[in-house]
Amino acid sequence: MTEPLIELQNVSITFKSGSALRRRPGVQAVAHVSMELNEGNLVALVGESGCGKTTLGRLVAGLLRPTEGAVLYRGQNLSTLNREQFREYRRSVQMVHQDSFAALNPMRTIFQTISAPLQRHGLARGRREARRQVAELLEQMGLTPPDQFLDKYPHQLSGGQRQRVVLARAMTVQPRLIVADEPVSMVDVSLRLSLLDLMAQMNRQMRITFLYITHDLSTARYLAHAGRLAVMYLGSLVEYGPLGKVLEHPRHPYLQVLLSAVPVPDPKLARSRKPLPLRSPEMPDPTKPPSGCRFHPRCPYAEEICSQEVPHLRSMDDRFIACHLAERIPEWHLL
Amino acid sequence: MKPESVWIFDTERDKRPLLSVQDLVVEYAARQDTVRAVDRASLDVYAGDWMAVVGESGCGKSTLAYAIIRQVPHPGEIKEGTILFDGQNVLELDRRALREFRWKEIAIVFQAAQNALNPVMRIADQMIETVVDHESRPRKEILVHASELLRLVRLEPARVLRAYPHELSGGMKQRVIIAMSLLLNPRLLILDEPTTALDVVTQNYILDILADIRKKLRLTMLLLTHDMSIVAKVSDRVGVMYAGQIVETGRAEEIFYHPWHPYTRGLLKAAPSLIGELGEKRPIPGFPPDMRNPPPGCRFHPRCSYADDRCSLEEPSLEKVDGRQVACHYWQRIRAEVDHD
Amino acid sequence: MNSVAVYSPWRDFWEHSLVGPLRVIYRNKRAFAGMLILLGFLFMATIGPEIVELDPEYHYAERFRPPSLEHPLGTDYVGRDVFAQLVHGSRDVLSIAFLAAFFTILIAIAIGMLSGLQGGMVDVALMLVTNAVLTIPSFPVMLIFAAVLRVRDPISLAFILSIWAWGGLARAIRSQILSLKEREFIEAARLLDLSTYHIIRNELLPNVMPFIAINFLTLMRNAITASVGLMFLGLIPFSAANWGMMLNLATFQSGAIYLPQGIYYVMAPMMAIILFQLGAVFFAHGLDEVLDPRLREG
Repeated sequence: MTEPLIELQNVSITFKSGSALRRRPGVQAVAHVSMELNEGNLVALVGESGCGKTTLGRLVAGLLRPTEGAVLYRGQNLSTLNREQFREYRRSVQMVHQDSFAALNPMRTIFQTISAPLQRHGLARGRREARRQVAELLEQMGLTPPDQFLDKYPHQLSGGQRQRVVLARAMTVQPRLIVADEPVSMVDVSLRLSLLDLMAQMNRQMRITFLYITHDLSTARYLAHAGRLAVMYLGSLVEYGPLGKVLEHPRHPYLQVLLSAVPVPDPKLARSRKPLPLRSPEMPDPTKPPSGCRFHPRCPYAEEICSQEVPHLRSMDDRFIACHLAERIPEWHLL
Repeated sequence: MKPESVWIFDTERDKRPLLSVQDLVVEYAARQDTVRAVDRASLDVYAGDWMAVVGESGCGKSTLAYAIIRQVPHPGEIKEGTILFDGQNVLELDRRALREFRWKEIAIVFQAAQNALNPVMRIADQMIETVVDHESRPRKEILVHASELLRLVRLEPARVLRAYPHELSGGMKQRVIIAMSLLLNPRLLILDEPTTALDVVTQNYILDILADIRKKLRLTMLLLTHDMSIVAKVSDRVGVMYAGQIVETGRAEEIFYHPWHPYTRGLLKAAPSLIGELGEKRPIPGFPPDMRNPPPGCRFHPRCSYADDRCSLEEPSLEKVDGRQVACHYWQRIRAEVDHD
Repeated sequence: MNSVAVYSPWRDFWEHSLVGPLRVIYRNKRAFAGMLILLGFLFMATIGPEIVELDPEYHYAERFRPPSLEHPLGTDYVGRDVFAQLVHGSRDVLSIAFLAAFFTILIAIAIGMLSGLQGGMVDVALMLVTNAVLTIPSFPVMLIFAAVLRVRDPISLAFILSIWAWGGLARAIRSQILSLKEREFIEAARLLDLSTYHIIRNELLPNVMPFIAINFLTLMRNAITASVGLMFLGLIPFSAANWGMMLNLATFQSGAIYLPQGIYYVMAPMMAIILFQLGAVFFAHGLDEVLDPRLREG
């Protein structure tokens, strides 16, 4: 049994604010998260804006260092890697951003952008060879005929096409893991599925691990239906398990509230559903998180212990959950 | 069990619609080409209804909204068509009548309207300014009315009126904008993507509030969005927009359970959701049309699996059938298939 | 079938770097006119002096003649051909301007990039220096330098002109770098393990280039004004035929400004300067279209 590709051990990230003269309390964007990503996994990380999912994604990609805890790449702590090893790690984890336009240099053609890493890592010698390889990659990503795209600039392509270019660029270094942060939210609805299908195909056929970060549970379900779902709230991981089971039978109150609020494209169903009520409509202040369980002020089932002790992620049945009252939370089903 | 009825007025099909857009054409003149953002679109909104126009980005729905209040941004121009509000042609109103009309008959809440709030003015002052621009009312009266409306959107008037925009959260700002749009007692409220950039829980909250004020103030609502799920939750009637045209209209149940237009059907199949068979989901092939050079004939034909030669030559007209409308040469075929499923 | 087989690197270069940009300029009539004017001056400065002969002899009988076939812009106070002087003088003026702009840009890029990329104390220190340079008025300082240092050749003059001109551009480049640094495509470059050299040369520089190119023309214009100004004041008398000296002689030495016939002598260098500025401004308007592919299409 090989070690996991990426392992997060109790990582926390705190952003400090204010200048050196006036230190203000920092924001703990990620709080004590532990997670494993193995080869070939497909994990959807969901949560609302401000929950820390993007920060966690950037941590996995190596763009951020944890304030506490450790990040392990194939069993080795990132902070102990030497230069050569760190570069190998860098190449193994790539990222796809939400805004495909900002992710591409507007002054460079598609060919120039994709051939740069090819030439850097000596994978293509000479311009003709580079063009051939780039064309091949574009074709693999569904951009055919590739000739039409090679000499275009990013602004001449549509959002979906740009994302495919971004994926092609990521593929030049043959990554083992791709962190995709809201890759389809800026793409037209009718085209989202084909982009998601592409990523699913990359996961299945090339065994590339995907960490799909989104606030949209519907796309998470579509992409990772055979994978796992990780739910974050205010920096903590609250529920984590096989996606199908977790969605059908959510245990954490926050996930129940979330699922009850997500609209569905079915009028009769939409109007008969009653969303689970929150105890308080106030959104918490990220710089002053609630004591104990961060969800307790809004949780419909909160008890005294919830405001006193922080619940840790523990295993229960087929999943992990961070809730003191997990066994007693009433069942709630989507349908 | 019958779901809680959202019908508060009986909308008889023969009754004249409150707002009727007919064959509207709006063009933007760019440097070298013209873009037909709205390409002979027709739409009827009945009093008391909650109508949703659903379409992806670039389909022209925002332009349609701007055109209805005659505020199409430069270099856009309304070229053809009529817009009848309560029988009056909006396009023929003179400047004074137009001022009476805008905001007092129809109000609009723009996309990302939260950014439209003036960051250096308190909310109370902004609300007063909005009213005073259109009619003279004593300050105190405006504030009383404003407080009522703020309470209606579930905000605390005392706290909000004194605040500056940056002191409020995104959801709160959105509610303030909605309250502001109601200050002049309009009959029709147009909302352009009111809940994008909001999290799911807040989105639900806002939609509930909108349903509430619709009932209490007897408003007619026109909601523009790309999100089919929102449409399913709140609307009575739905219009589907593609490439600047309305291609299908009908009641919400009709559109969702028995769509007659291939695009509507494709959109329903292509929208991932929490329910439904994953295996049935399919993207719509092809790409959205380039509005500088739209496809000839039916705009959807390059992506349509039912299309044949006729579709690339003849533009289908919007046919009225059983209180619904559909613009497709072969809608009967789709109806037969859908009914069969 | 491999559809990339017919690719040819030469054709690509021809299309991409020569014909393509020319086509863009041609579409913008004003920029095209500007380019023609600038090319005209380039021609005048490089080949002109070889074609047009400058007769240094005094011909008192011919003084202050109006334009004619023999003397297209008339004659000066000692009967020398004004047009020939203009042509010969252009070489110095334009090369000084070009060099001054070039040096200025080198300094500004170096400081702006270093400041933007390094940050920290380096940034603070460099910006302190930059602000000092910006606050001290440049023309008086250049006056002093010119008077004290006895400038004899175009290169040193260009250098002196550039010492005080880089401030604004360095600041602007620094802020562009600061904002570009955080953009996702730079982050992606880091993730792909691309070298810092590559990031600077191939990712950052192309985004800063349009700005720099347009500023190049502005800097040239400023340098011309400054150098002509200095020469006009008689501070750098190293060549009699350059435009500044022409103006100096016309105003102070020959009384040309008091005589109606002298108008051609006085106006010639001024019109040349104005025409150059015009060409530069017009061309600059088209330049950003050439350099920024986003602005190219209709």
